[in-house]
Amino acid sequence: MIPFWILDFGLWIATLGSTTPEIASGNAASSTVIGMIDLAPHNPYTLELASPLIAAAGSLGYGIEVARQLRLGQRDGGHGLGALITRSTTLRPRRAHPPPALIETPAGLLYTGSAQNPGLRAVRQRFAPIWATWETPVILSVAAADENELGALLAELESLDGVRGVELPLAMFGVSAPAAAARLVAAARAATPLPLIVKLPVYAEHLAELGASAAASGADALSLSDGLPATAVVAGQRSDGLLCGPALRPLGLRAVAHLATKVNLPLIGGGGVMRAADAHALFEAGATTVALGSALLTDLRAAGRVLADLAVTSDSSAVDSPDRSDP
Amino acid sequence: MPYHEPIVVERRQLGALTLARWHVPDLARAMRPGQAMLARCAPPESDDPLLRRTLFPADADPHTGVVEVLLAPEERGLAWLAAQPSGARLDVYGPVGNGFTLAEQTRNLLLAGAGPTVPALLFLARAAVARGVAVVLLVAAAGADVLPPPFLLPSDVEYLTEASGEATLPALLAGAHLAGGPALSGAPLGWADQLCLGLTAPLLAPVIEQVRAGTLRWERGFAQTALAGVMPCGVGTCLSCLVETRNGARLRCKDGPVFDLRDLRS
Repeated sequence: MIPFWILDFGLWIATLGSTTPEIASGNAASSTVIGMIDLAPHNPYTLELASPLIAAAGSLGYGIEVARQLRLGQRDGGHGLGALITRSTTLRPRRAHPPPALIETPAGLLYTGSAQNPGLRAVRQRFAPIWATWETPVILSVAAADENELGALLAELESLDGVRGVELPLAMFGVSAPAAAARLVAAARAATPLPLIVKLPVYAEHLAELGASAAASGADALSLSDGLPATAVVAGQRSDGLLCGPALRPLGLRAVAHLATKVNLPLIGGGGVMRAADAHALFEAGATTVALGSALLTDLRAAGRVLADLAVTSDSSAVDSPDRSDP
Repeated sequence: MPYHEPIVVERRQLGALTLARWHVPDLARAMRPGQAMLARCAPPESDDPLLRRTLFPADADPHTGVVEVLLAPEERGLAWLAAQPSGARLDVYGPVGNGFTLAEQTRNLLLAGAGPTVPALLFLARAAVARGVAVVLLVAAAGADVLPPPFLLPSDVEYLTEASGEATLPALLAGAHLAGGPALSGAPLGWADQLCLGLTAPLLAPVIEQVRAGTLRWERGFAQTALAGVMPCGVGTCLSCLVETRNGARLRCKDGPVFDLRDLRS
């Protein structure tokens, strides 16, 4: 079976692969109408992306830091991103103790201190007004101590033009069981009508049931994967954090392939995507879009490069298998 | 975006250090002493090691387009980088952050450092001598084979070293180990009208203490330091290079890597 994304994505890639001056300069009629992917097709707000690649939560901070370099204000700024998911944000500012750190592991990164964030007020006053002027949609990742705090946080978001959707990382709430996920997602759904992406922990014992309960409770899309809880030793000191990066790639791929057959929602795949081949594997496994995290952390050009390489791959496969584009 | 593809044009072994010269005109024009650059340290097809390494250039010549780096290949990333032969093409992001600010009125510049930021002091020494400033450089290292060789410095620079450990830097600043050249008839800190340091985190507290002890007045701008340490993203998104200052937490990659010593909490 050809996943439904291939129809949109194949056309999008076909457009990108074209060398006509209109496309190269970002002809809106061509690249937006043909290339749009909607991550929340059943939500009145919709969440349309001009590229199937997304900046994973926090990989670009709040985007403001790199907006000029990546030209995030422009949909066709060459950055290759369809959307950006922010660092997980709480109602009030949080400082991590010890401060955040990235510890290099074999083909991976252990990230400690992911709770550190400037709080919702900073988002409301400093970031969202800027996001509102961007063509690249911004999805706010949120965290809270409990459902009440989550409700209070989400209630403030609808009036913010710059926030186009919400990502709810279950791991940040310590949730990995379907029943608890259902309660949390239902509470979030009741608090905001914005497109709601539920991020599932890749290590969850019952991943499909977790995804199904999130879908049944009001999620518009699902996202995989969060980092894996892990420990590293540096200079004799043990540090706990979330393992991310290429080391997680096989886990992410397996989880996406498993979930895609069980849940009928748009799915953001991820886990150590560094190259077009990694993204391609996730698309083939059933991902609607693919998130880049470590790749963007180490190279801001990563999404643009992956997208361009996907276009080349798509062109080659179109030549090799002309029947694939004609389902 | 400030990504560059330097080509290795020269590579020499200097004791345990590797001196490499890279042809990278845009970066050579932009780089200032104390600023950092982030070098990818793996072949294109590899994801390991993942993080770019933070380097402080020892020189950047806008006329020849050459950036000079002094590498201590003490871990796998830097070892890979140091082993790249002439003709190899690299992947570097930079400049990152803010460099040293040499005051207009500075006539006697004291440089002192240990660890990965020492090359930044060589770069600054060259720039200062070109301006007619008298320069003394103090470097502490774990051994003679990891000390930058004197020929990397202009002959006008007075260069004093201690090879029995980086922790001896405060003592060097105090003048305890010095024979006392003409410029250093008193303690080095008393001679200097500006102090630029290159420090690692463990050296911060003892050096601040030494500067406090050795100076009667310590005005803002008198003492600056480049701080060594990882800068995973280099753009301020990962928040993994936080430095505690009197004004709260600051990022080494965006607000540093050079800080006024008065602002730092020891």
